[in-house]
Amino acid sequence: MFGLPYSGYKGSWQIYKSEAFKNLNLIAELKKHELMHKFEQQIQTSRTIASNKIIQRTSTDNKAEDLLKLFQNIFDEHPDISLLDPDTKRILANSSGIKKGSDSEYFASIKDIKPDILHEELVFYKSSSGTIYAILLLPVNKPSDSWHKRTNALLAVQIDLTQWFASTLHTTPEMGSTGEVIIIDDKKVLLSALKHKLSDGNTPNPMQYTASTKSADYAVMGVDNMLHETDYRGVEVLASVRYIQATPGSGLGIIVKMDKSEVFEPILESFKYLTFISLGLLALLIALANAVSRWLSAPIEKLADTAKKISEGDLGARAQITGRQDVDVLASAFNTMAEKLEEWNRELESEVEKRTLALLDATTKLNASKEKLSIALSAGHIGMYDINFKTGTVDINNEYAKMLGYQNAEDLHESINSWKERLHPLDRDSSAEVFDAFIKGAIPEYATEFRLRSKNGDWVWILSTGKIIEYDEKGSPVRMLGTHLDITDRKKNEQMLMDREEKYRTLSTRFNTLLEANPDVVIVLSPDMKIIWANKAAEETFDSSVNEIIGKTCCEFWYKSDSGCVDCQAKKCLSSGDLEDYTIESHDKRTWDIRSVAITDEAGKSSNIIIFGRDITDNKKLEEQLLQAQKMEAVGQLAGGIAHDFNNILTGIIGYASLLQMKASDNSSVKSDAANIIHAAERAAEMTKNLLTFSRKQIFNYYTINLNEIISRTMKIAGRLIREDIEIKTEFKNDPLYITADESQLQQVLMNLITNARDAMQHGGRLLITTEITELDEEFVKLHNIGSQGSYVVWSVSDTGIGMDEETKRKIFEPFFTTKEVGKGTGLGLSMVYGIIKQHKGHITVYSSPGEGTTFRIYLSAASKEKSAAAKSEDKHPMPFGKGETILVAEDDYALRGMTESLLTEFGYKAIVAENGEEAIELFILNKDKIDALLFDITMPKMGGVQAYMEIKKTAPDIRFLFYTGYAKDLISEKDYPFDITKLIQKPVSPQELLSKLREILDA
Amino acid sequence: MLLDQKHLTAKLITGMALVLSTFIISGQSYAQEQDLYKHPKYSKYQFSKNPKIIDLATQPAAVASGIIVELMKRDNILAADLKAIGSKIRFHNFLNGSHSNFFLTRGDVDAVIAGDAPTIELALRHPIFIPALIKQGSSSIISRDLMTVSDLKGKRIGVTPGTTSEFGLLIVMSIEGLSQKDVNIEPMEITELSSALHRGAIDAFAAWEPTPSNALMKHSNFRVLAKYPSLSMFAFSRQIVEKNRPAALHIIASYIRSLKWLRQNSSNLKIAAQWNIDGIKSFTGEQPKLNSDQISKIVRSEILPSADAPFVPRRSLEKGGTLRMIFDHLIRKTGYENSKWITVQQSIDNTLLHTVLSNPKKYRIGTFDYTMEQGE
Repeated sequence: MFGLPYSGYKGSWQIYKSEAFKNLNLIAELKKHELMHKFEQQIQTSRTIASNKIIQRTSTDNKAEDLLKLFQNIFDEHPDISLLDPDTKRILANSSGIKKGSDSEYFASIKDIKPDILHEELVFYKSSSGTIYAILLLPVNKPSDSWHKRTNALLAVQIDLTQWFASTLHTTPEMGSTGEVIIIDDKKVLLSALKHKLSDGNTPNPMQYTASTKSADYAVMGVDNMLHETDYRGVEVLASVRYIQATPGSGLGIIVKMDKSEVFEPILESFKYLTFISLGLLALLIALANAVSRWLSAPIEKLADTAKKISEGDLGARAQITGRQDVDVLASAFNTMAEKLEEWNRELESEVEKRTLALLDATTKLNASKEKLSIALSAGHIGMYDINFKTGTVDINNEYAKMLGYQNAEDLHESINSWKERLHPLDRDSSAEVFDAFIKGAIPEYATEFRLRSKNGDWVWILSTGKIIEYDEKGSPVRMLGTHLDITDRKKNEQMLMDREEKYRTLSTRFNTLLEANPDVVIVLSPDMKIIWANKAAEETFDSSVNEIIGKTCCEFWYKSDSGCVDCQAKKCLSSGDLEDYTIESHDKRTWDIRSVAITDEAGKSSNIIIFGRDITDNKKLEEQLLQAQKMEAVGQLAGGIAHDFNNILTGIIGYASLLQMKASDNSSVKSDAANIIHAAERAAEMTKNLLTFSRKQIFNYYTINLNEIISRTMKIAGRLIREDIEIKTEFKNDPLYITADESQLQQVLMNLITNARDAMQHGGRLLITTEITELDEEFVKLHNIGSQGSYVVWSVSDTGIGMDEETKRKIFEPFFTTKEVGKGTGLGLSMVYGIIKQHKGHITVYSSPGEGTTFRIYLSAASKEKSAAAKSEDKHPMPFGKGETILVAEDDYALRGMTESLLTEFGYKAIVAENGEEAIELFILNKDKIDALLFDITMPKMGGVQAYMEIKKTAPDIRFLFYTGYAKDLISEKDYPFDITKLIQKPVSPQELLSKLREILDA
Repeated sequence: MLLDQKHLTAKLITGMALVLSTFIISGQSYAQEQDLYKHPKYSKYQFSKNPKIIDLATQPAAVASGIIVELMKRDNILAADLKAIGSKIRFHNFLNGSHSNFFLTRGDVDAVIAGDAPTIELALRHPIFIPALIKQGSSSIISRDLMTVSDLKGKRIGVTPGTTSEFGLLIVMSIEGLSQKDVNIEPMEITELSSALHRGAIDAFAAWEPTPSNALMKHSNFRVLAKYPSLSMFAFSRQIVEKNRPAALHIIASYIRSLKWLRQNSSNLKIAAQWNIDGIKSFTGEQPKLNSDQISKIVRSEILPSADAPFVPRRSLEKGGTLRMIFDHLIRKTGYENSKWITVQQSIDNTLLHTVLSNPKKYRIGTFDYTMEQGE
């Protein structure tokens, strides 16, 4: 009823709208063309004027002006036509008689226009009288078909828009009473008068009002279109917009509009009429429907009343039969249903009575069971809980509550959430996990332990068990029954036990670590002497694993004997219970210090033996070596002391003999006798030198030398000493081989070793000399006291001679020890070798057995490279003479003192002599001004040379000095001789050397 | 994880949509850039980087500029003047301005005649000179059932992306407070628009002439919702002007010459219109719906009014002017910085036209020699 009129209205609306748009568009289009045509014509006309040659010349005479006036008369719609200066915009010629050079009325509107405009321009202005004008400006060029950079003049044609727009603004009947045409410029400025006032009541004036509607926006964009909008009054309108491109650079917008209300007024009327009819029809329909429904519903209502009575309990109520067939069928069926209901109700009541009696009986029995259960739980202090998952409630017994410090179950309002809150934080996750797993059926039984917080805040350990006793139709648990048992005490005991075990484990581990780390062998024996425990050192020593050791006796490992020890000290320890210390030698000739300790029980009875075994083999060797070294040292000291005294004596002998030799004539026998004396003394000096070498008191000159080269050179000379039945071979495994050593001493070593080897091979043999470089570890160097670990040169001299026994090997380095016949050897050769090697901070070992030959092996520290050895220059200079200087000599040895005095006097010096340091000081004081230098022996009775010098130095700090000594320089400590070592000479000193050194000191 | 994936997917789709829409609006067309070389119409074109050979891109289906190009093809004076300086000109037809821009930015073509929107975009992407206006025409929004621009809301509008008609559509809609997201833009070629509206695939379309006129003539139930100005312009790459300025001047002269020839009489106009029709048919394979009289009318209204001095109108560069509005719209779509309006302004160079117009005898703009047979 409503839809049809509405659809009809909607359809009409569209048609009306379409027609309205069409009409307005048509009107707008017509007006656009009308105005456009006017502009086109005007532009053509103006171009004609602008192209006139007189106008183009823009002469200032009246011709142009006359022409303009003529044009104005022809085209009478122009109030004024002017020629303007393009730059100043001032009037050059004018049709209205305005003075040349003056400004036009529209000057303000055109003053900003560029002088060299390329095409027509259109500007608008409002005159003082309120008339709106357009000024059409055209460029006027020079009379030629060419463009210039600037126009000659501007032609300004004034157009009265009021007249122009008159027809355009005229509204047609199709536009109705509200229709309106509005004209605006490119900037939306109003060019025509508006029909109505603004929404604020003001009347907008052309050239003073700027439109702000959508249609105006469209117009200036140059868009032609149709739109709904709200106009300047605020009224809804339909508008059609057109844009006119008046000139290439400017245009106008035309807006043709009509109020929407007027457009759609006819259709609105129709719509009202249609609506009224529709409403009337609707009302009628409603009334009719109401009456029909009432007629239909009356019997149904009665039926409904009867049903209500039955539902309220009146099962005897029945529906009325009315006589209307359709309703009576329903009523009969209803009554049949009611009778059936009554019958079922009676049967139901009977059944209910029977079941109620059975239930009462069952309840009585149940209560009795419950009572028994409660007593049992109470006696066993077992808490009980009954969880209903649907309701979230938890029923508990009094024991449950008491466990947690509550009086009874009523005091503790337990629920699943309160239980969770009561859980110990550390037990929450695990308990929840077990609980969830059980509920989901992942685990078959529920039994878990957790802590619950009691009333007073303590933690109570609970063992919780449970069982699901009811499931719903989906199989989800509904009820769970379970027990709580307080296991706090049990937990405490368990913890104590764990703590003790931990303690024990820690102690045991420490003890084991201690024993395992012990480098000594530690084994534990059972009462029957079987090993029951062994440490790591035992494994390494016995070269067996623990499993292989256990169960065996210690004899099997130490003695390789399973027949038991004779006189076993360990057994003795076991029986006595006392500690036993003893030394054994194992099967591999190693020496062991053994300590046996008995482990006794509480009764004091020995149950086991602990054996501690320490290998002292190396230590023993070391002790022996030390003893030997000490012995050698003592002998060396003795020999050195003797050699020192000898040196002094020999110096005297050599000195006097030299003087004698010098004074004697060449042919006399005195000279040759003196030479013999010197020769014999030198031989003696050589012996003392060897002794000193052995005692390491000889002075060495160290250089970095190639050992192989020294050996090769020496062998050339030594080869003459060796018989032809002895084969000589040298093997240099590393070449070159640098060491820091005294070359001549090493040569001496080699010579001595070769000599010994030769003497050991009386029936021929082989002599092998090898050198190589090796790395010695810390243990080796420590054992033999030869310095620090590192690279060492190993120099071997081997022979295939008769060899030596152990006794001989032990003594060969002792001075004066010899196996040769008397007179065949001094017994100093090898001791000298020993001394030389030791002085080189090296080591020498001997390997020999009877009949197996002998090998001497020398270890010397390797050096990096050879430094050029300074050539030892023999002093061939003549004896230097003195210049009459006075020398104060202090020497305790009589002969030496005398020799020195004679020597000095002989060679141009004056000598003052003293016996000791004290006397030297006295003599110095007396002869202070005369004495030029001091020549003091270091070691003298009463006062030594150094001390005497120090005293003298106090009064004569610049006194020159020279010391001499019978001891090796490198054995003199800094404390004993704190001066420049070059001012110290070694006895025995030759006259040459003494005089040279003295001269050197005096000339310094 | 699922939420993150969904979020990521949504972001991806949104991003892709943005990219795609920018791609479309920026004039790169639903034809991917890399495909234009493989476009069946362009795949056989040969271009030259030699500055002596001027490759000019045109759109025959755009009636007004199509006529100018047909005249230039037959202009023997142009051919002779170029030959005298060791140069020559080749003409390449494209479907729309965004296609010709593609090839100019790659140096394949040296000059284009195209609508205002693609020319503005070209100025922002590539150094060009705009020496002359070709036409001041219009584009229209055509519909079957709708009546006003505001009725476009939620409707499907067919448009050729990146063209003057597309930008004009968006500008016109903006007055009614509608933006692109309020409508459903259906990108399609200009030749498909009318049939799509007729069969109901779209509710309206925006196109430049002669497509709207053709459509209105063919379907009486079509109506114009709005008509808005669109310009066509000449544009040269700066490089070619710098390297071969004399050739550029001769080409401008040929253009001026063609305007003067068209303005001589209606017979010339009709002949040129027929050349235009033949040219359209040759390129599109379809007979245009407009006849030579109708084309002549368009030429008279859109080209000839500014024939004396076809400079780019000053008004179009001012705020509210056509070119400025297109630029403002382009910025919003593509994010170009506002300062690049200077780039557009500086692209418009009147010196070439001035030179030609100032030396009419040298450039023989009043002399005519056209080959009357079908041009290349």
